[in-house]
Formats: sequence, structure tokens, C-alpha cells
Amino acid sequence: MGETIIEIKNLFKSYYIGHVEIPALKKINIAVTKNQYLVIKGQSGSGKSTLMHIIGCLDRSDSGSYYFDGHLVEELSDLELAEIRGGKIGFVFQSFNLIPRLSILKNVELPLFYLGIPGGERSALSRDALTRVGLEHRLTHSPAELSGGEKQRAAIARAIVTNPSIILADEPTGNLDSKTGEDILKIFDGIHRDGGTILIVTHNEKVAERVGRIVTILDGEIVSDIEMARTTP
Amino acid sequence: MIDIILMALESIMLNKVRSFLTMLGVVIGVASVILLVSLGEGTREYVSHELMGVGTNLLVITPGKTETTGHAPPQSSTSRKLTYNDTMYLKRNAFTLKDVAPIVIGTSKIKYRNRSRDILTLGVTNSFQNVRNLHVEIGSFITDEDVEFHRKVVVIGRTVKKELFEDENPLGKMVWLAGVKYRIVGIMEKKGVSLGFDIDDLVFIPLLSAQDLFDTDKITEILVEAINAETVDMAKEETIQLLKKRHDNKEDFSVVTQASLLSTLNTILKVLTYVIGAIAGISLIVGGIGIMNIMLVSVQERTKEIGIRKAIGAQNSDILKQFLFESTIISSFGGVTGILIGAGIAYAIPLFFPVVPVKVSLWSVILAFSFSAAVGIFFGAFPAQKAAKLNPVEALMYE
Repeated sequence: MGETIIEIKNLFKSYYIGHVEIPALKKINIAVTKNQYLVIKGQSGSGKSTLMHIIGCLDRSDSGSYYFDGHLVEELSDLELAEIRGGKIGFVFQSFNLIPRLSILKNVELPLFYLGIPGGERSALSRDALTRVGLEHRLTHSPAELSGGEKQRAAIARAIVTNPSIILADEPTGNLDSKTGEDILKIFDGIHRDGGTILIVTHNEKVAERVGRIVTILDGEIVSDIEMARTTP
Repeated sequence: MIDIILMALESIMLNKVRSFLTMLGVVIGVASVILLVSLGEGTREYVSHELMGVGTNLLVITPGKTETTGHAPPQSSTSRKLTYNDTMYLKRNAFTLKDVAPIVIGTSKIKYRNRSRDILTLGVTNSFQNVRNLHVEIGSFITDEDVEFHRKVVVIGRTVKKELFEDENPLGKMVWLAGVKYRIVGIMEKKGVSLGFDIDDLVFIPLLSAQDLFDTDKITEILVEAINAETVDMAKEETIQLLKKRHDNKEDFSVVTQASLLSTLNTILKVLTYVIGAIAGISLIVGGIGIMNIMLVSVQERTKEIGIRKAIGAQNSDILKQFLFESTIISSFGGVTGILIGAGIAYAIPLFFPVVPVKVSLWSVILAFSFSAAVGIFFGAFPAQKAAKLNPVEALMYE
């Protein structure tokens, strides 16, 4: 076992619709170590996105404990959570979530901007990241000028530009055709080979098949957590 | 910091028409503040300047006690008059007075050949030219002998000379003044209009001749000049004491210093300037509400973007700054534009209407700019707070 990045114990989370309590996550226990490549698999409404939001420090749990890189997240302020999101987590979303009026390069620079990295270094790091995903020729284009696959590659570049402890991807191939989806997954494979830790949330069996560990979630509970022999396809 | 400002500028430029219209509210507000305050300040300066030209060492004595407030009792209308002897008494006995100039004011018809006009006629002594700082350009002014011997001599103003004589030399010529023949002995230097009163459209005759002409022994007012500005109060006190002695120990006259008149006028005009400035300021607040409205729309529109920014590490303060800079840039830019337009119009006014006094004062510019920037911060704060406090998950899900 490598160094533990994420450790969640007995985590609960509910939503309220009016006064009616809707439990979203029940007694979640999960740990993720460095350089793991895992999938959280589940149908829509299973609570997987809620879990990803909590893991991504975008949301807080109702009870239980969550350690990220040794810090008890429940005790961190909003400011410290923002610092973790900016410096240690890279998000990749199903709908890409690029800011439409910024160029691809500016989009990728944004997390570095919030980390307070000066302009020149920001630009150099962003160009590197875009080169890694094969978008070095698209720096000045706006997101609208890119294909779906290219947008997702730009989003991956934005996720890896800060060299985060973990990349959280929410249905990263959900809006792409299977060929393009495959290309995107190959990029994730490459990041993993280079030592990155990747957590993908998906309902797609094909995505699940290629990783080293599959956590299945159903009605807010983890029903299986299977570790494969091979870690990289 | 510069990056956040650039970011805010980018958002502003993205919605050019909307930003421009939002800015317009501030531009109009600031421009009207600058313009109206400039007019007010200009008027105040003009009035002060004109009064200063008359001299701040000056005291004006008028018959009747008028410095009390409220309605005067009915019998006060029979106030005791001021006389030439009062004047002579002051002149002989006062230590703190430099000069004393009694004036009789009336109107008469002046006629030369077939030209005639109604004219404001001042009966004066030689002291008048020193006290009022008005001088003869050609010939000589009224002398003390002219007064003493009731001489029928007249000194005419520039406008009178032009109207009656055109290019002719009037010195030594005879004119009819209210049916009495007068000889012209001097022509005043050109002074122009002052406080709506055309100094050049006057004639001066010896005081006692004027009393004969208007069939009176009253003096309209006595101008008294103190030795210097510091002794004005002393001069006032001495004048009152001396005149009371001659008036059965009753203070049935008023002594007003030019300085007190000046400061009263100044206060009135200052208050007036502030009031019109404040009224114009209301439009600035309306402009601020416009900014708040647009910023709220902008926050709503960019909810998803705020979610993305938060997900990739933006802190609440980063989001707050971004929106606050945006509203402040809009209002400050509107402020600068408003200042330029307001000052531009203010400076242009005298080109078209030379009689309208205008003064763009630095304090109004600084105040208007600070106020417009403050409006941006104040009215931008609520939308920016709203943006900063958005829940990142909800913002990300927003479509």
C-alpha cells in the first residue's frame, strides 16, 4: 500500500426536500492511496456524484470523518477547502465546464491564477499541460471553436496543470462518442502511468473495465469494492 | 491584483452595450453634479469678486434700524434721516475713519441737443472716488468747492458719453439735467457691469446740487472707509457712537460692513451650491441602483462560471473582488467620463453665454469622483457578496 490520499470513515449525507429527508450517502468507508486508478460505479441517483462532491471538497458531509492528505476536512474552513481544491485536486466534468469567454490557454491558467502563480510561469506550465494532452496548436481558440473531445482534453489539461494529488473525473466520457471517449481514457491511462492518482465516477461499464479498482455504489451505500490484479491496461 | 482588474475589464468589454448603458447613469449623475456645482461656485466667486472690488474696508450707513429681525414697529417708518451735517460731523470727529462719502441717489432726465435719456444720478462729494475706487479718465471729478457752492457741474459715465455725444468731445459742453443746465467737467473711466449695475451708465453731480435737484435734505446712504481691514470693527463702533450723539442717543440708522455683507452672501451662495449639488447627487444614487441591478443580473448569468471558478480553487474573496472590481470600474469610468463632460459643458457655457459665471472647482471634481467610486463599491457589494457566497455544488449544477 502506498501513501493514503483519501480516507473516509462512516460518512453520511442527506438532502432535504422541504422537510423530507432524502439520504444520499449512508455509512461510506473508502480509502484511496497514491497512484491508484479507480472507478466509482453506480446508476444515476445512486449517490456517486454526491460522494465525488464531498471527496472534491465542494460539499461537506453530515457526519463521519474525511481525511484528505492527512487533514480532517470537517475541521477546515471554506478558505482552506478552496486551497485544497485549487492546489491538490484536479476536476474533470462531464460537461467540460470551460469558461466560454476565455481562451483555452486562459482556461488552463485559471487554477494557477488562483494559486497566485505569476503570469509568465502560469503560461509556461499551461502550455506544457496542453502539450501533454495534444492541444498545443489550440492555445488561443475559444472553447466554442473546439470539438467535444478537444474540450475535454483542455479540461484535463486544466486538471493536471497544478500537478494535483488526485484527479476527480465525473463521467468524463459521458458527452463523447465512443472513439473520442476512448482517446480521453487513454490520456487518463497515460497520467496514471506517469504516477498520477485518478478517481473516475461513471455508470459506464466499459470505463470501469480498464482500471485497477471498481467501487460500486447503490442507493448511497458501497456494495462492492474490487481490486484487480493488473493496475494498468 | 492587476489580473483581477484585467478580468473585470474583460467582463465589462464582453457586454459593451449593457456596460455602457449602466455607466451612462453614473455619467449623467456626475456630469450634473460637476456642472451645477460649477455654476454655483462661479456665481459665488463672481459676487465675492465684485464686492471685493468695492473694498472690504467699507461701511455703509443707511437711515433706519434694519439689522433687527421680524417686522419693524409701524412708527419706525418715520425714521430719522441722515444729513450732510451728519457726514461732516463724522469726518471731523472720527479717528478710525479714512474717508466719508455721502451719496444722494435719484433719477433724472439728461438732455443734450435733441438726445435725452433717463439716468441714475448720484450726488457725491470728492471722497466718493477714493472710497468706491472709481476714477475720472478725462477732466476732473466733483471737488469739495463744487459741493460747497452748489455748482451745476456733472461728471458722466462712459455709456452716457457714447449715447449722447458719440465721437464728440463732451468736456465743457452743457447738458440739461431735470431741466437744469449743467456743465460737463469729467468723464469716468470704463468700468462695465458690476452686480447687474452698469457703472458706466451714471452721472455724478455735487451732493448739495443733487439735494437741490431732488428737493430734499436727506442723504440716501453714507459710505465710510476704515483705515484698514483690521480696524473695520473699531470704525463701525466709533461711527455708531458718533452718530448716536447727533441723533439724541438713538441708534436710528444701520451700519453694515462690506465684510459682513460679503460673508452673508457667501454663506447663502455656498448653501445654495451644496443644495443643488446634493440634488444632482440623487441622480448618482439612481445610477448606483442601475449598477446594482445589472450586477445582480450578471451574477445570475455567471452562476455556473462562479461554480467552475470555485471548483478549481477560487476563494470567496476572489469571486467577491472580481465582481466588486467590475462595478467599481464601471462607476469610476462613468465618474471620469461624467467629470469630463460636466467640466466640458461648464467651460463651454461662457463661450456662448459670457455673462454666466462658471468655476469648475477641484473639490467638486474630487468629491464627484470619490462619490462615484463609492457608489460602485456600495451598490456592487451586495451582488458581489451574493456571488461569493454561492454554494459551489449548486452553482456548478446551475444551467
